[in-house]
Amino acid sequence: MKAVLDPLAHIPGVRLAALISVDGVPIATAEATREGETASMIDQDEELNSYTALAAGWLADVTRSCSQLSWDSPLRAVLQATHGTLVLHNAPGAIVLAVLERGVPYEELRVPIEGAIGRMQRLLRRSVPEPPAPLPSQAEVAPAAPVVREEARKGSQA
Amino acid sequence: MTWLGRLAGRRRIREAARRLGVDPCAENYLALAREHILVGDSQEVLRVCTEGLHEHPGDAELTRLAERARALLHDQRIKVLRSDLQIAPRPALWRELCELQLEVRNTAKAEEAAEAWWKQTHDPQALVFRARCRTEAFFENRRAEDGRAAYELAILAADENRSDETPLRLAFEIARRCGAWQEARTALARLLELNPGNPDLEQRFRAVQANLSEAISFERALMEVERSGEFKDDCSVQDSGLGDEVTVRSLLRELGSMMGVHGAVYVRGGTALVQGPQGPTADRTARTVRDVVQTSRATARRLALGNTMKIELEGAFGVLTVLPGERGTAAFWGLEGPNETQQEILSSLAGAVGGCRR
Repeated sequence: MKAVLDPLAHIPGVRLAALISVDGVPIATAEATREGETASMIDQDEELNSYTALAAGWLADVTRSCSQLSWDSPLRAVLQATHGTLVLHNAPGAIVLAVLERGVPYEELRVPIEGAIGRMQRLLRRSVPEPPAPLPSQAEVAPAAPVVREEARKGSQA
Repeated sequence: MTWLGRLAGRRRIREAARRLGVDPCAENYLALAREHILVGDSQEVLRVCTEGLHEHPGDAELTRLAERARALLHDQRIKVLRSDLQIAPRPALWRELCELQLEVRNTAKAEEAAEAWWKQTHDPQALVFRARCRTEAFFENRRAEDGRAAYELAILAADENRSDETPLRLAFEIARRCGAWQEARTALARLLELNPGNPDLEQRFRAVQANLSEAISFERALMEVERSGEFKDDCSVQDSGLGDEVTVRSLLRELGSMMGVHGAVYVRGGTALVQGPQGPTADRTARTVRDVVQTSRATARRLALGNTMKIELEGAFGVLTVLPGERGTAAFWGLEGPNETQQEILSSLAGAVGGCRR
């Protein structure tokens, strides 16, 4: 999962990229590390947990506010503030979170985030075994053919 | 770095500079800046990035590199100051260290330095810096705890050095912005004792005196700021601008009549003007906008993102763009996000051009 987020974290201006569950539990995180940068945005695991929980909580609150108008849950929510921007993108069963530095245009992150979601879904599809087909395949039907031919041969001998 | 490395570095810098001379695009500026990073010359990195940003304003990577270089230069100076302070601590160095930390908006580190200064020398100036750090933190994050500590430190600093105006001005500013007029009056009275007959102070004193009838306790004022994320006194300043309801209505009508716009909302305090949705839906739309702003402001503060400037929600319902500003909150609900004209109208409605920061 980390490989899914790494390209996102390497975009200039992205401080943190994370995949979190709907209730805010971090699944995978990738933080920007570039030359000259050593300090981490979030040092402790606990801090990361509370950060993602707060972000997911905000999305839940906003969804609740929107439900007054019978609106569905927002697919994408952006909170732009003086010190940075928080971008949350709803993926099936999870949320992609990105924190951007101040002044970085969040619109530029739309395609990379959608790309990350696509990569994640491909990865999940590959790890799940294919379900059995509703009808038997040709390979399963094939052994029946020689039997028919034998019966036909017996009939002709008689 | 070895002399051979330096030599190779200088050659690469010359080549990068030559490429930049041929084609002064942002990529070539970045390449030259990166070469300077490799030889560890932050001053040159900053110079190249500044020049590049002059040619290509708004380039994200150049901005990032310039900020990093600036931060690195500050870090270097801070390191030098720290080592100097260990050898020969003196007020000028402490002061510069605190100023530098405040300049890079690292209020926590600045307060740490001011505390160390206070513990070492008990210099009243250290208390003033501690009060300044907390005040900055309060104005930025609007947490009641910061406001309380800042005010107490300012009063303590004023008591320690009775001839210094700075802590009293800080105390007045905190109280004024919260709307705690009683505390603002006390601070102003003390300031007037230091500057008898100062016309500016006297005018302010009269204005505060007039507000005393609607004064609330300092504690309640702080809680109110934390809850709403707005400073009370900012509202009284706003009235001089676009408080004109006619202008707001006409701007809303203009916004609402545009193609692809479902609705436009302007919310200020308990009043809401809605263009588009009718009847109970209009009420619910205004309530939604108000709730979204309130929860977003609290979240941005908790996540240390500062003041909320813009909220954008996108889904099957379309796009809801909310701009909380100095004059009120303007919201736009459309099929797509607002275009340039719509964005301008929203900004003028919310008074967000200057931002809600100070």
